Amino acid sequence: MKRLILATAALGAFAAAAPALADGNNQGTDTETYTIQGANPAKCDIVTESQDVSLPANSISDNNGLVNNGLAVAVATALNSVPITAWCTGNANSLVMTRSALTTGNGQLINGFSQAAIYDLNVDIADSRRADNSPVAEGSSDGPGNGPGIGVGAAVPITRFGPTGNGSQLTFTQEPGTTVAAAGNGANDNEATRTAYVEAGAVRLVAGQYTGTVTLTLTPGV
Amino acid sequence: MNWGRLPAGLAAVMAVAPAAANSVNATVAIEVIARVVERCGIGATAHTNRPLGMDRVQSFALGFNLDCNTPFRIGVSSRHGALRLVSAADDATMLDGFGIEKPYAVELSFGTDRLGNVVAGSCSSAALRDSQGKCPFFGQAGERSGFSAGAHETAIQRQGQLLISWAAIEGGSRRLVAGDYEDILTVDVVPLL
Repeated sequence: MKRLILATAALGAFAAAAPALADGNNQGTDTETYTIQGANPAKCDIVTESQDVSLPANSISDNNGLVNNGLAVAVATALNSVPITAWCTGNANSLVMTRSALTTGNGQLINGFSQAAIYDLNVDIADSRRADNSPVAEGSSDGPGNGPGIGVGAAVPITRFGPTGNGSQLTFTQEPGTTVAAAGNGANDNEATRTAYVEAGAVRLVAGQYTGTVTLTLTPGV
Repeated sequence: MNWGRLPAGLAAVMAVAPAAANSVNATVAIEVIARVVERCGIGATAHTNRPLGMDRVQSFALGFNLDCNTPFRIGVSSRHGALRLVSAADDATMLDGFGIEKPYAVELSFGTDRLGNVVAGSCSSAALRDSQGKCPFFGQAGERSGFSAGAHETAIQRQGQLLISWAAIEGGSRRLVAGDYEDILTVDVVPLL
């Protein structure tokens, strides 16, 4: 029995010497690992030096005083010269472009003249694609809430673009298949679908300063 | 009890027992010699493991318990040398022209028995990938590397921590791909026998 007591005492001595970290014998290398996790949220930005663009003189009407068929090209050229750049870090972003008519006064017909000119643009981003790998080609004619793709509600996501600097330049052109027209209801800088505008036909535009807006909305998505 | 796993000192005590069993009045003097073996262990303390936003300044500590009754080395190594996009291919350096790695900083400190709290230093994550980074506490198992608080310094039931931090925006010109990032830090402690 005495020997057993001695043995127990010896065992107790060993136990007291053992570290609390009993995940191994701790007589060689002991290791712990830590996983560091980070989440980088998707972001987008549009960069432009100016939010005001002036068209060259005599861009809105032709020599007959009718709406200039080159109006959309003139607006696109002016926007391309700003330039406007953008970037997105996620890979499923939405892009919507809308525009109002260029209007003067109240934008309504007056004495048989028009005070509004309607046009449509396309915007493209060289290093971004739609999910089906086709060009971005977002047009303005489908109005607010509708991105790339055909039909109301279409919003095909576009891939990430603009990894460095101010991002990638947005390239504007006249939207294929659309025309320029004098409108009879271009009031209030309303950015609507093309079908919401009533074309006034071959009426002349009143002289004056015309203003309008083009709105680009980029929404980031992973 | 598994006697075969007993330390050598205790095994010697048990070996005497059969010889004494046949004696009636005999006296046996048994010298008990026990040696406290060198041990050094590390165990992570509980911490929340959840992704933190990489677009804002972050600083957080990962704690550990340290129990070394002998002088020791402690080494830290990083698998990727940065927070790396989880979905990136192993050999990728970019994705669509975007960056896929974000560096961060690691500061190592731990308590010791004589010197108190010791700060081993602060290093970039990139310097923890290999010895080329010259980080004073870089170390991997099996290598004679890592940080030693001293040739006679022990740390019995002490605590330590890795202080992790990163900036909101890096100085580089390349944006980071949106997504989940990860790195794995390994901490090794080795008794200096």
